[in-house]
Amino acid sequence: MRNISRAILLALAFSPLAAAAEYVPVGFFPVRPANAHVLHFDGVLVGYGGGSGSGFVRLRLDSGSVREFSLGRNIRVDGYDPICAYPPRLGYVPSKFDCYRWPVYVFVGSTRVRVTAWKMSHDGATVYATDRIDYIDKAMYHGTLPKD
Amino acid sequence: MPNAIDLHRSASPAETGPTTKPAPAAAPHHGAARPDHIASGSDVATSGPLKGIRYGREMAAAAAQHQVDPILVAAVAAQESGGPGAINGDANAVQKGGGGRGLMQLDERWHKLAHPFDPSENADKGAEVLRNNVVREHGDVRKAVQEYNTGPHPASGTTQTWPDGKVMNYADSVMRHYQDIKAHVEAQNAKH
Repeated sequence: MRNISRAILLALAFSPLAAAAEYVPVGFFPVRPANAHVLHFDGVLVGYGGGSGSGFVRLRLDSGSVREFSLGRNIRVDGYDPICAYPPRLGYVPSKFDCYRWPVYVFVGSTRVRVTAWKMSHDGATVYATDRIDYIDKAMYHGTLPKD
Repeated sequence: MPNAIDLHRSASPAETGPTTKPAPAAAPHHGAARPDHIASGSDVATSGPLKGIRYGREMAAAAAQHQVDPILVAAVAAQESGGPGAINGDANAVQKGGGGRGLMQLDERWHKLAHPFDPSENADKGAEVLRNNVVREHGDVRKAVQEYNTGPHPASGTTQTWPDGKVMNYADSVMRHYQDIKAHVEAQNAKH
């Protein structure tokens, strides 16, 4: 039985159908492993976005340095599951069409957040990836929060 | 990080460079959504700036709508869902390990699409993203293309190995698709 299954698999692998397989795009949106060593970084959110192949979060740490994180496949921003390419900044409030399910009190460039991350290897380099950003406070923001 | 307000500013063609001039008039095509779209022979454009390209009609309409070079839209689609060496994209493509969907691999983390596998809707949003990137990058098409892959982030993005063995970063690969598609369209036009 096992030999028959192996023969079928081999036949499929070398069939014209397999040779003409459709191209499958691949992106880098890592999923946190169950046994990942979790790290926390506090600082001001200074960048968030991405494209078809990857996403990023940029944090100005309390130490003053800036750290980049690759955006994980399942990102949560203070519990929200956003669809958002350009989140709010001071002086810019996106429409709901452009930024959906993003917490209105989190502003790029001014809101202090905690990033939950893990270290991983990608293309031979060590990178930090994140799937969770939590609001801490609006340390640098003194304006009026927009209404949802 | 550019000022996001710039996204909503309308740029003149002079600001956005020669590749963002309005495309030749193409009839807007906003047909019924086809969530389970399956490509057929009729999807190949028989006229217009993307003659001979699959979903050329949809992409040309989207390019005209957002004032982007139609060949650039087709090149990004070929890169995103066609793969190295392809001149056509695939409206049914689903990204492995990510949220990319459809012809131009619009990611569900960034863009809300009702029917991501409808080539018209997908191309329309993809062209809009390209246009916004070009405006934000002050007409620098290469940077705008790179941003399509990584967002406003200084990274080289996805690398691809072409059939000739050449490994190219995202923007270079799109530009190679661009040249191939341009040559294909010119050859199609020369036939008649």
